Amino acid sequence: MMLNLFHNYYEVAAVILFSIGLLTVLLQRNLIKKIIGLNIMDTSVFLFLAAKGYIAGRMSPIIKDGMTDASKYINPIPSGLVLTGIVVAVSVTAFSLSLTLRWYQQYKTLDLDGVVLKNVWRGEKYE
Amino acid sequence: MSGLSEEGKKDVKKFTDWVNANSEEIPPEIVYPPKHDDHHGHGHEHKEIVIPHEETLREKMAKREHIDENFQEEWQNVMQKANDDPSSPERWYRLASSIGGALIVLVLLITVANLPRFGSPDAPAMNEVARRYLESGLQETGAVNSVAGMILDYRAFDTLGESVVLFTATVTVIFLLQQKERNHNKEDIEAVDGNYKGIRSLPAKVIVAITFPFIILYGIYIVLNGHLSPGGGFSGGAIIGAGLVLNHLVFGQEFSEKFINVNKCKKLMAGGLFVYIALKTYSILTGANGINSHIPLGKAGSIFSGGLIFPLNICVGVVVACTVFSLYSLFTDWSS
Repeated sequence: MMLNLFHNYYEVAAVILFSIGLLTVLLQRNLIKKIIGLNIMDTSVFLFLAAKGYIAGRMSPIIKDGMTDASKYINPIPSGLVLTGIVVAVSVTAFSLSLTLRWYQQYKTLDLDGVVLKNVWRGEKYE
Repeated sequence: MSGLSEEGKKDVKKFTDWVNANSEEIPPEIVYPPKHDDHHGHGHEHKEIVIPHEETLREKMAKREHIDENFQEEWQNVMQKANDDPSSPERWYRLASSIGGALIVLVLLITVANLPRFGSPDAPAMNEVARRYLESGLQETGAVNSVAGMILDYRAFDTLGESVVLFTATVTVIFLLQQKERNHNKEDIEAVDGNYKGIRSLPAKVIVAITFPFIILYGIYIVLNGHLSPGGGFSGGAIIGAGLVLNHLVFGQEFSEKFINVNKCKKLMAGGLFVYIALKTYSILTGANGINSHIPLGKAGSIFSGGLIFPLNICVGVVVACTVFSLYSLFTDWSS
Protein backbone atom coordinates (compact mmCIF):
# COMPACT_ATOMS: atom_id res chain seq x y z
CA MET A 1 0.00 0.00 0.00
CA MET A 2 2.81 2.41 0.89
CA LEU A 3 4.36 1.74 -2.52
CA ASN A 4 1.40 3.64 -3.93
CA LEU A 5 2.78 6.82 -2.38
CA PHE A 6 5.72 6.68 -4.81
CA HIS A 7 3.44 6.19 -7.81
CA ASN A 8 1.02 8.93 -6.69
CA TYR A 9 3.75 11.53 -6.30
CA TYR A 10 1.58 14.31 -7.74
CA GLU A 11 -1.05 13.72 -5.05
CA VAL A 12 1.64 13.53 -2.34
CA ALA A 13 3.02 16.88 -3.51
CA ALA A 14 -0.52 18.29 -3.35
CA VAL A 15 -0.92 17.04 0.24
CA ILE A 16 2.40 18.58 1.29
CA LEU A 17 1.46 21.90 -0.36
CA PHE A 18 -1.90 21.77 1.40
CA SER A 19 -0.26 21.31 4.79
CA ILE A 20 2.18 24.16 4.12
CA GLY A 21 -0.76 26.43 3.30
CA LEU A 22 -2.78 25.28 6.31
CA LEU A 23 0.09 25.86 8.76
CA THR A 24 0.74 29.27 7.19
CA VAL A 25 -2.88 30.22 7.85
CA LEU A 26 -2.75 28.90 11.41
CA LEU A 27 0.68 30.09 12.56
CA GLN A 28 1.31 33.39 10.79
CA ARG A 29 -0.12 36.49 12.42
CA ASN A 30 0.30 38.76 9.42
CA LEU A 31 -2.95 38.98 7.46
CA ILE A 32 -1.20 39.16 4.05
CA LYS A 33 0.72 35.97 4.88
CA LYS A 34 -2.53 34.28 5.87
CA ILE A 35 -3.96 35.15 2.44
CA ILE A 36 -0.81 33.75 0.79
CA GLY A 37 -1.37 30.55 2.79
CA LEU A 38 -4.95 30.34 1.52
CA ASN A 39 -3.66 30.67 -2.04
CA ILE A 40 -1.13 27.87 -1.51
CA MET A 41 -3.98 25.63 -0.30
CA ASP A 42 -6.00 26.54 -3.43
CA THR A 43 -3.04 25.63 -5.64
CA SER A 44 -2.65 22.26 -3.96
CA VAL A 45 -6.30 21.44 -4.67
CA PHE A 46 -5.86 22.39 -8.35
CA LEU A 47 -2.78 20.16 -8.58
CA PHE A 48 -4.70 17.28 -7.00
CA LEU A 49 -7.67 17.66 -9.38
CA ALA A 50 -5.47 17.96 -12.47
CA ALA A 51 -3.55 14.86 -11.39
CA LYS A 52 -6.77 12.87 -10.94
CA GLY A 53 -7.89 13.70 -14.50
CA TYR A 54 -4.72 12.46 -16.18
CA ILE A 55 -4.61 9.05 -17.85
CA ALA A 56 -1.25 7.82 -19.08
CA GLY A 57 -0.70 7.75 -22.84
CA ARG A 58 -3.90 9.51 -23.86
CA MET A 59 -4.54 12.81 -25.66
CA SER A 60 -5.97 16.02 -24.28
CA PRO A 61 -9.78 16.13 -24.61
CA ILE A 62 -9.88 17.94 -27.96
CA ILE A 63 -11.56 15.74 -30.54
CA LYS A 64 -9.12 14.95 -33.35
CA ASP A 65 -10.37 14.02 -36.84
CA GLY A 66 -13.89 13.33 -35.56
CA MET A 67 -12.63 10.40 -33.48
CA THR A 68 -15.17 10.22 -30.66
CA ASP A 69 -13.72 7.26 -28.82
CA ALA A 70 -13.60 7.85 -25.05
CA SER A 71 -10.63 5.50 -24.63
CA LYS A 72 -8.40 7.89 -26.63
CA TYR A 73 -8.75 10.98 -24.40
CA ILE A 74 -8.14 11.95 -20.80
CA ASN A 75 -10.95 12.92 -18.40
CA PRO A 76 -12.30 16.42 -19.25
CA ILE A 77 -14.25 16.95 -16.01
CA PRO A 78 -11.36 17.85 -13.62
CA SER A 79 -10.25 20.57 -16.07
CA GLY A 80 -13.64 22.22 -15.76
CA LEU A 81 -13.54 21.91 -11.97
CA VAL A 82 -10.06 23.49 -11.80
CA LEU A 83 -11.40 26.39 -13.90
CA THR A 84 -14.17 26.98 -11.36
CA GLY A 85 -11.68 26.75 -8.51
CA ILE A 86 -9.29 29.31 -10.05
CA VAL A 87 -12.11 31.79 -10.54
CA VAL A 88 -13.31 31.46 -6.95
CA ALA A 89 -9.72 31.67 -5.63
CA VAL A 90 -9.10 34.92 -7.53
CA SER A 91 -12.35 36.43 -6.28
CA VAL A 92 -11.76 35.46 -2.64
CA THR A 93 -8.18 36.75 -2.78
CA ALA A 94 -9.25 40.11 -4.18
CA PHE A 95 -12.01 40.45 -1.61
CA SER A 96 -9.83 39.56 1.37
CA LEU A 97 -6.99 41.82 0.18
CA SER A 98 -9.35 44.78 -0.05
CA LEU A 99 -10.70 44.02 3.43
CA THR A 100 -7.10 43.88 4.66
CA LEU A 101 -6.41 47.31 3.19
CA ARG A 102 -9.37 48.79 5.07
CA TRP A 103 -8.22 46.99 8.22
CA TYR A 104 -4.76 48.52 7.89
CA GLN A 105 -6.27 51.94 7.34
CA GLN A 106 -8.18 51.61 10.60
CA TYR A 107 -5.60 49.99 12.90
CA LYS A 108 -2.23 50.78 11.25
CA THR A 109 -1.09 47.21 11.79
CA LEU A 110 -1.52 43.95 9.90
CA ASP A 111 -1.01 41.88 13.05
CA LEU A 112 -4.20 40.08 14.02
CA ASP A 113 -3.43 39.69 17.76
CA GLY A 114 -1.57 42.99 17.94
CA VAL A 115 -4.73 44.96 17.20
CA VAL A 116 -6.33 43.89 20.47
CA LEU A 117 -3.24 44.72 22.49
CA LYS A 118 -2.76 48.05 20.76
CA ASN A 119 -6.25 49.13 21.68
CA VAL A 120 -5.72 48.05 25.29
CA TRP A 121 -2.53 50.13 25.44
CA ARG A 122 -4.26 53.08 23.88
CA GLY A 123 -6.90 52.77 26.58
CA GLU A 124 -9.66 52.32 24.04
CA LYS A 125 -12.44 49.84 23.91
CA TYR A 126 -11.81 46.92 21.60
CA GLU A 127 -14.42 47.08 18.91
CA MET B 1 -26.64 67.49 31.59
CA SER B 2 -30.07 68.29 32.84
CA GLY B 3 -28.69 68.88 36.30
CA LEU B 4 -26.55 71.81 35.16
CA SER B 5 -27.33 75.46 35.38
CA GLU B 6 -27.41 77.64 32.26
CA GLU B 7 -23.92 78.84 33.02
CA GLY B 8 -22.64 75.31 33.40
CA LYS B 9 -24.14 74.32 30.07
CA LYS B 10 -22.36 77.23 28.39
CA ASP B 11 -19.07 76.14 29.92
CA VAL B 12 -19.53 72.58 28.70
CA LYS B 13 -20.34 73.92 25.24
CA LYS B 14 -17.16 75.99 25.29
CA PHE B 15 -15.12 72.98 26.32
CA THR B 16 -16.57 70.65 23.68
CA ASP B 17 -15.97 73.34 21.07
CA TRP B 18 -12.37 73.52 22.18
CA VAL B 19 -12.00 69.77 21.98
CA ASN B 20 -13.58 69.67 18.52
CA ALA B 21 -11.48 72.53 17.19
CA ASN B 22 -8.39 70.71 18.46
CA SER B 23 -6.64 74.04 18.95
CA GLU B 24 -3.38 74.74 20.66
CA GLU B 25 -4.90 77.30 23.02
CA ILE B 26 -5.43 76.64 26.65
CA PRO B 27 -8.99 75.48 27.31
CA PRO B 28 -11.49 77.73 29.07
CA GLU B 29 -11.48 77.43 32.77
CA ILE B 30 -14.30 75.34 34.07
CA VAL B 31 -15.31 74.52 37.60
CA TYR B 32 -17.57 71.57 38.21
CA PRO B 33 -19.91 71.21 39.88
CA PRO B 34 -20.77 74.91 39.59
CA LYS B 35 -20.74 76.76 42.87
CA HIS B 36 -24.19 77.54 44.18
CA ASP B 37 -23.99 79.54 47.37
CA ASP B 38 -27.66 79.68 48.23
CA HIS B 39 -28.74 76.26 46.96
CA HIS B 40 -26.88 74.34 49.65
CA GLY B 41 -28.99 72.11 51.76
CA HIS B 42 -31.99 72.07 49.42
CA GLY B 43 -31.48 68.43 48.47
CA HIS B 44 -30.31 69.57 45.04
CA GLU B 45 -27.38 67.26 44.17
CA HIS B 46 -25.42 67.71 40.96
CA LYS B 47 -23.61 64.77 39.48
CA GLU B 48 -19.96 65.48 39.31
CA ILE B 49 -18.71 65.56 35.74
CA VAL B 50 -15.06 64.67 35.30
CA ILE B 51 -13.50 66.52 32.43
CA PRO B 52 -9.85 65.69 31.85
CA HIS B 53 -7.53 68.56 32.44
CA GLU B 54 -5.49 69.90 29.57
CA GLU B 55 -2.31 68.20 30.70
CA THR B 56 -3.89 64.80 31.10
CA LEU B 57 -5.43 65.18 27.64
CA ARG B 58 -2.07 66.04 26.15
CA GLU B 59 -0.52 63.16 28.04
CA LYS B 60 -3.09 60.82 26.60
CA MET B 61 -2.51 62.06 23.06
CA ALA B 62 1.24 61.76 23.49
CA LYS B 63 0.86 58.26 24.85
CA ARG B 64 -1.29 57.35 21.87
CA GLU B 65 1.23 58.72 19.41
CA HIS B 66 4.01 56.95 21.25
CA ILE B 67 2.12 53.66 21.03
CA ASP B 68 1.43 54.15 17.31
CA GLU B 69 5.08 54.91 16.64
CA ASN B 70 6.72 52.27 18.79
CA PHE B 71 4.11 49.59 18.36
CA GLN B 72 6.27 47.17 16.40
CA GLU B 73 9.08 47.13 18.99
CA GLU B 74 6.75 46.78 21.95
CA TRP B 75 4.84 44.05 20.18
CA GLN B 76 8.07 42.18 19.47
CA ASN B 77 8.93 42.37 23.18
CA VAL B 78 5.52 41.03 24.17
CA MET B 79 5.79 38.17 21.68
CA GLN B 80 9.32 37.38 22.84
CA LYS B 81 8.07 37.14 26.43
CA ALA B 82 5.16 34.95 25.35
CA ASN B 83 7.51 32.63 23.47
CA ASP B 84 9.92 32.37 26.40
CA ASP B 85 7.19 31.63 28.92
CA PRO B 86 6.52 27.87 28.84
CA SER B 87 2.98 28.21 30.19
CA SER B 88 1.78 30.92 27.80
CA PRO B 89 -1.30 30.14 25.66
CA GLU B 90 0.67 31.24 22.62
CA ARG B 91 3.02 28.25 22.93
CA TRP B 92 0.14 25.87 23.45
CA TYR B 93 -1.61 27.25 20.37
CA ARG B 94 1.48 26.75 18.21
CA LEU B 95 2.01 23.25 19.54
CA ALA B 96 -1.64 22.28 19.06
CA SER B 97 -1.82 23.65 15.51
CA SER B 98 1.42 21.87 14.54
CA ILE B 99 0.08 18.58 15.87
CA GLY B 100 -3.26 19.18 14.14
CA GLY B 101 -1.52 19.95 10.85
CA ALA B 102 0.60 16.79 11.15
CA LEU B 103 -2.54 14.71 11.83
CA ILE B 104 -4.31 16.14 8.78
CA VAL B 105 -1.26 15.37 6.60
CA LEU B 106 -1.20 11.82 7.98
CA VAL B 107 -4.89 11.24 7.18
CA LEU B 108 -4.48 12.71 3.69
CA LEU B 109 -1.37 10.61 3.01
CA ILE B 110 -3.21 7.43 4.02
CA THR B 111 -5.99 8.46 1.62
CA VAL B 112 -3.50 9.08 -1.19
CA ALA B 113 -1.90 5.68 -0.57
CA ASN B 114 -5.31 4.06 -1.13
CA LEU B 115 -6.16 5.99 -4.29
CA PRO B 116 -5.84 4.33 -7.71
CA ARG B 117 -2.43 4.78 -9.31
CA PHE B 118 -1.57 8.03 -11.06
CA GLY B 119 -2.54 7.82 -14.75
CA SER B 120 -4.34 4.49 -14.51
CA PRO B 121 -7.05 4.10 -17.20
CA ASP B 122 -9.58 2.32 -14.95
CA ALA B 123 -9.71 5.06 -12.31
CA PRO B 124 -13.28 5.56 -11.05
CA ALA B 125 -13.10 9.27 -11.95
CA MET B 126 -13.35 8.26 -15.65
CA ASN B 127 -16.98 7.21 -15.30
CA GLU B 128 -19.97 7.28 -17.64
CA VAL B 129 -20.34 11.09 -17.34
CA ALA B 130 -16.87 11.77 -18.74
CA ARG B 131 -17.38 9.08 -21.39
CA ARG B 132 -20.68 10.66 -22.44
CA TYR B 133 -19.06 14.12 -22.77
CA LEU B 134 -16.32 12.69 -24.98
CA GLU B 135 -18.44 10.36 -27.11
CA SER B 136 -21.49 12.51 -27.89
CA GLY B 137 -20.13 15.99 -27.06
CA LEU B 138 -19.11 16.73 -30.64
CA GLN B 139 -22.50 15.76 -32.02
CA GLU B 140 -24.56 17.47 -29.31
CA THR B 141 -22.64 20.72 -28.74
CA GLY B 142 -20.67 21.06 -31.97
CA ALA B 143 -17.50 21.96 -30.05
CA VAL B 144 -14.25 20.21 -30.90
CA ASN B 145 -12.81 21.16 -27.49
CA SER B 146 -14.61 18.85 -25.06
CA VAL B 147 -13.87 21.05 -22.05
CA ALA B 148 -15.45 24.09 -23.75
CA GLY B 149 -18.43 21.97 -24.76
CA MET B 150 -18.76 20.80 -21.17
CA ILE B 151 -18.47 24.12 -19.33
CA LEU B 152 -20.44 26.23 -21.84
CA ASP B 153 -23.16 23.79 -22.88
CA TYR B 154 -23.77 20.92 -20.46
CA ARG B 155 -22.71 22.97 -17.42
CA ALA B 156 -23.35 26.51 -18.67
CA PHE B 157 -25.36 27.39 -15.59
CA ASP B 158 -22.29 26.67 -13.45
CA THR B 159 -20.19 28.96 -15.66
CA LEU B 160 -22.79 31.70 -15.28
CA GLY B 161 -22.33 31.32 -11.52
CA GLU B 162 -18.56 31.70 -11.93
CA SER B 163 -18.97 34.89 -13.96
CA VAL B 164 -21.35 36.25 -11.31
CA VAL B 165 -18.76 35.43 -8.61
CA LEU B 166 -16.15 37.47 -10.52
CA PHE B 167 -18.61 40.32 -10.99
CA THR B 168 -19.59 40.29 -7.30
CA ALA B 169 -15.94 40.29 -6.21
CA THR B 170 -15.23 43.32 -8.40
CA VAL B 171 -18.30 45.16 -7.12
CA THR B 172 -17.28 44.44 -3.51
CA VAL B 173 -13.75 45.66 -4.09
CA ILE B 174 -15.13 48.82 -5.71
CA PHE B 175 -17.40 49.29 -2.70
CA LEU B 176 -14.54 48.82 -0.23
CA LEU B 177 -11.80 50.77 -1.98
CA GLN B 178 -13.54 53.63 -3.79
CA GLN B 179 -14.81 55.23 -0.56
CA LYS B 180 -11.72 57.41 -0.44
CA GLU B 181 -12.69 59.20 -3.62
CA ARG B 182 -16.33 59.46 -2.72
CA ASN B 183 -15.52 61.55 0.36
CA HIS B 184 -13.53 64.13 -1.61
CA ASN B 185 -14.74 66.77 -3.99
CA LYS B 186 -13.74 66.58 -7.61
CA GLU B 187 -11.44 69.57 -7.24
CA ASP B 188 -9.61 67.87 -4.41
CA ILE B 189 -8.76 64.90 -6.59
CA GLU B 190 -7.40 67.15 -9.34
CA ALA B 191 -5.46 69.19 -6.80
CA VAL B 192 -3.89 66.10 -5.28
CA ASP B 193 -3.12 64.72 -8.76
CA GLY B 194 -2.39 61.19 -7.63
CA ASN B 195 -2.45 59.94 -11.21
CA TYR B 196 0.03 57.20 -11.87
CA LYS B 197 2.44 58.52 -14.50
CA GLY B 198 4.03 55.26 -15.66
CA ILE B 199 7.66 54.19 -15.56
CA ARG B 200 10.51 56.20 -17.09
CA SER B 201 12.52 53.38 -18.63
CA LEU B 202 12.70 53.86 -22.42
CA PRO B 203 13.46 50.20 -23.35
CA ALA B 204 10.41 49.03 -21.39
CA LYS B 205 8.20 51.57 -23.18
CA VAL B 206 9.50 50.57 -26.62
CA ILE B 207 9.08 46.85 -25.94
CA VAL B 208 5.58 47.25 -24.54
CA ALA B 209 4.58 49.56 -27.41
CA ILE B 210 5.61 46.83 -29.85
CA THR B 211 4.18 43.83 -27.99
CA PHE B 212 0.97 45.32 -26.56
CA PRO B 213 -1.14 44.92 -29.77
CA PHE B 214 0.07 41.37 -30.20
CA ILE B 215 -0.78 40.45 -26.60
CA ILE B 216 -4.33 41.74 -27.09
CA LEU B 217 -4.56 40.00 -30.47
CA TYR B 218 -3.38 36.71 -28.97
CA GLY B 219 -5.95 37.02 -26.18
CA ILE B 220 -8.72 37.65 -28.71
CA TYR B 221 -7.53 34.66 -30.75
CA ILE B 222 -7.71 32.41 -27.68
CA VAL B 223 -11.21 33.67 -26.81
CA LEU B 224 -12.54 33.20 -30.36
CA ASN B 225 -10.95 29.75 -30.77
CA GLY B 226 -12.19 28.52 -27.40
CA HIS B 227 -14.34 25.80 -28.94
CA LEU B 228 -11.61 24.62 -31.32
CA SER B 229 -8.37 24.62 -29.34
CA PRO B 230 -7.16 24.79 -25.74
CA GLY B 231 -8.26 27.99 -24.07
CA GLY B 232 -11.54 29.85 -24.05
CA GLY B 233 -13.11 32.82 -22.36
CA PHE B 234 -11.33 32.47 -19.02
CA SER B 235 -7.75 32.07 -20.25
CA GLY B 236 -8.13 34.48 -23.17
CA GLY B 237 -9.77 37.06 -20.93
CA ALA B 238 -6.93 36.73 -18.45
CA ILE B 239 -4.41 37.37 -21.26
CA ILE B 240 -6.28 40.47 -22.46
CA GLY B 241 -6.55 41.71 -18.86
CA ALA B 242 -2.82 41.15 -18.31
CA GLY B 243 -2.07 43.11 -21.49
CA LEU B 244 -4.19 46.03 -20.27
CA VAL B 245 -2.44 45.87 -16.87
CA LEU B 246 0.96 45.97 -18.62
CA ASN B 247 -0.16 49.01 -20.62
CA HIS B 248 -1.32 50.78 -17.45
CA LEU B 249 1.89 49.86 -15.65
CA VAL B 250 4.23 51.23 -18.32
CA PHE B 251 2.36 54.17 -19.87
CA GLY B 252 0.49 55.41 -16.82
CA GLN B 253 -3.10 56.08 -15.98
CA GLU B 254 -3.81 58.93 -18.40
CA PHE B 255 -2.85 56.97 -21.51
CA SER B 256 -4.46 53.78 -20.27
CA GLU B 257 -7.79 55.46 -19.61
CA LYS B 258 -8.10 56.28 -23.30
CA PHE B 259 -8.80 52.56 -23.77
CA ILE B 260 -10.57 51.56 -20.61
CA ASN B 261 -11.25 52.57 -17.03
CA VAL B 262 -13.10 51.14 -14.06
CA ASN B 263 -16.43 52.69 -15.00
CA LYS B 264 -16.29 51.27 -18.52
CA CYS B 265 -15.28 47.92 -16.99
CA LYS B 266 -18.36 47.93 -14.78
CA LYS B 267 -20.64 48.57 -17.76
CA LEU B 268 -18.90 45.99 -19.95
CA MET B 269 -19.12 43.34 -17.23
CA ALA B 270 -22.80 43.97 -16.61
CA GLY B 271 -23.41 43.90 -20.39
CA GLY B 272 -21.48 40.65 -20.80
CA LEU B 273 -23.43 39.00 -18.00
CA PHE B 274 -26.71 40.27 -19.44
CA VAL B 275 -25.97 38.85 -22.89
CA TYR B 276 -24.90 35.55 -21.31
CA ILE B 277 -28.15 35.32 -19.33
CA ALA B 278 -30.25 36.25 -22.40
CA LEU B 279 -28.60 33.62 -24.62
CA LYS B 280 -28.81 30.92 -21.99
CA THR B 281 -32.45 31.79 -21.26
CA TYR B 282 -33.22 31.21 -24.94
CA SER B 283 -31.40 27.89 -24.80
CA ILE B 284 -33.30 26.77 -21.68
CA LEU B 285 -36.67 27.92 -23.03
CA THR B 286 -36.15 25.83 -26.17
CA GLY B 287 -35.59 22.71 -24.08
CA ALA B 288 -31.90 23.02 -23.11
CA ASN B 289 -31.01 20.18 -25.48
CA GLY B 290 -30.50 22.00 -28.78
CA ILE B 291 -33.25 20.08 -30.60
CA ASN B 292 -35.73 22.96 -30.93
CA SER B 293 -33.06 25.63 -31.00
CA HIS B 294 -32.83 27.74 -34.17
CA ILE B 295 -29.12 28.32 -33.79
CA PRO B 296 -27.20 26.02 -36.17
CA LEU B 297 -24.36 23.99 -34.73
CA GLY B 298 -22.33 24.49 -37.88
CA LYS B 299 -19.61 22.31 -39.34
CA ALA B 300 -17.37 20.92 -36.61
CA GLY B 301 -13.94 22.52 -36.70
CA SER B 302 -14.90 25.77 -38.43
CA ILE B 303 -14.82 29.06 -36.55
CA PHE B 304 -18.62 29.61 -36.64
CA SER B 305 -19.54 26.33 -35.06
CA GLY B 306 -20.66 25.14 -31.66
CA GLY B 307 -23.91 27.12 -31.59
CA LEU B 308 -24.05 29.26 -28.46
CA ILE B 309 -20.53 28.37 -27.28
CA PHE B 310 -18.93 31.00 -29.52
CA PRO B 311 -20.88 34.04 -28.19
CA LEU B 312 -20.83 32.70 -24.61
CA ASN B 313 -17.03 32.47 -24.77
CA ILE B 314 -16.88 36.11 -25.85
CA CYS B 315 -19.14 37.16 -22.91
CA VAL B 316 -16.98 35.25 -20.43
CA GLY B 317 -13.81 36.72 -21.99
CA VAL B 318 -15.15 40.27 -21.60
CA VAL B 319 -16.10 39.66 -17.97
CA VAL B 320 -12.72 38.12 -17.06
CA ALA B 321 -10.64 40.78 -18.86
CA CYS B 322 -12.60 43.58 -17.16
CA THR B 323 -12.25 41.87 -13.77
CA VAL B 324 -8.48 41.52 -14.06
CA PHE B 325 -8.01 45.10 -15.19
CA SER B 326 -10.40 46.73 -12.74
CA LEU B 327 -9.00 44.83 -9.74
CA TYR B 328 -5.49 45.98 -10.67
CA SER B 329 -6.66 49.53 -11.27
CA LEU B 330 -8.58 49.73 -7.97
CA PHE B 331 -5.66 48.45 -5.88
CA THR B 332 -3.14 50.82 -7.52
CA ASP B 333 -5.50 53.78 -7.14
CA TRP B 334 -5.78 53.01 -3.44
CA SER B 335 -2.03 52.83 -2.88
CA SER B 336 -1.14 55.98 -4.84
